[in-house]
Amino acid sequence: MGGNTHHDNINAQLSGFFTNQTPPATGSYAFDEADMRAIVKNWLDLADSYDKSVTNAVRMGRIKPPAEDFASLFHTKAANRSGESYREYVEHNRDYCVRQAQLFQDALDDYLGVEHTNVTEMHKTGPQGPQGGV
Amino acid sequence: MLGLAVVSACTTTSDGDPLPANSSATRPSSDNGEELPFAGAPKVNDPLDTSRYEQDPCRSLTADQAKGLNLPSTGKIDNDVSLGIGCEWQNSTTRGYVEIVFIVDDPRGLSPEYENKKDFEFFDVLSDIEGYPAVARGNDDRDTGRCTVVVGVADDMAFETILRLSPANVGNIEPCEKAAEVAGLAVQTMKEGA
Repeated sequence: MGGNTHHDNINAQLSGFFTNQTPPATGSYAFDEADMRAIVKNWLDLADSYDKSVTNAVRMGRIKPPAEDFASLFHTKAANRSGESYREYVEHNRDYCVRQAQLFQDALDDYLGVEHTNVTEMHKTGPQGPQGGV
Repeated sequence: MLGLAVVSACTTTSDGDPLPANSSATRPSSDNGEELPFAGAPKVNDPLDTSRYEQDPCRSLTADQAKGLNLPSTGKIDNDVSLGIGCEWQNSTTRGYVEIVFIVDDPRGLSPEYENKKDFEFFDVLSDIEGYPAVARGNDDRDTGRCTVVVGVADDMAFETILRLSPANVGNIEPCEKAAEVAGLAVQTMKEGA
């Protein structure tokens, strides 16, 4: 399933969330507008990465028992249950990442004094209209 | 033992002729001997030889087709695919995304899709795509612009078209219709190259 690739991808996305500046002594972070846009993009990239795992996990339900004996059937049942748990896990993480992107987008919109933009449905409030193709 | 030795001594060997892996023409049934199709999946009467696209799914969409979809003209091979090999096209600006996956490691065509349909959040039988049976199925994320369409190009081979609309198109375009359109373009390409 390319676990290492997925792991590296997540690390790469997370490392991009923060600048190399040392946080102020108060323990809070300060982001400028460009940082905020980058953070939104990073959360969405991470969500897309989890989304790929969701489509992969859907295929995991195709496991068939090698034979009709008890051990084979039981093992298949357990494997498919495991696949379903994995699918729920990556789906949850994907949705979490989208929600994080939305939180940062909302904060940015509040800072700019503009109407909130939905990060997954930009046609509703975003500056760009429908685009050709996909 | 003597007989065996005699037979062995008389047996001649040859190198044999290599055959391409996963060639559609050499797969009369599934690996475990199941008769295909099953579970109510439709029979594919005119199977398409997709072996060259199974080796390199990035050939499934031409540069012109990809550009017409507002995607990069060349795709990127994705080896991190369960049960298959894929090629993905992503527009990093619009975030529009398409991936075509051949399920080469479970060559049973559409049959497993029909067999597992109760496990999917949605399962829609689509009109034939370029003469080949197809379904849309999986997690129901259509409201966020995601859809997967699976086309059976032979009783023992299917490919998925996984589509994620750009946020600007979510709500404006029905994702499964667009995925079916992309799958149709891929079948056209495969027919011309078969």
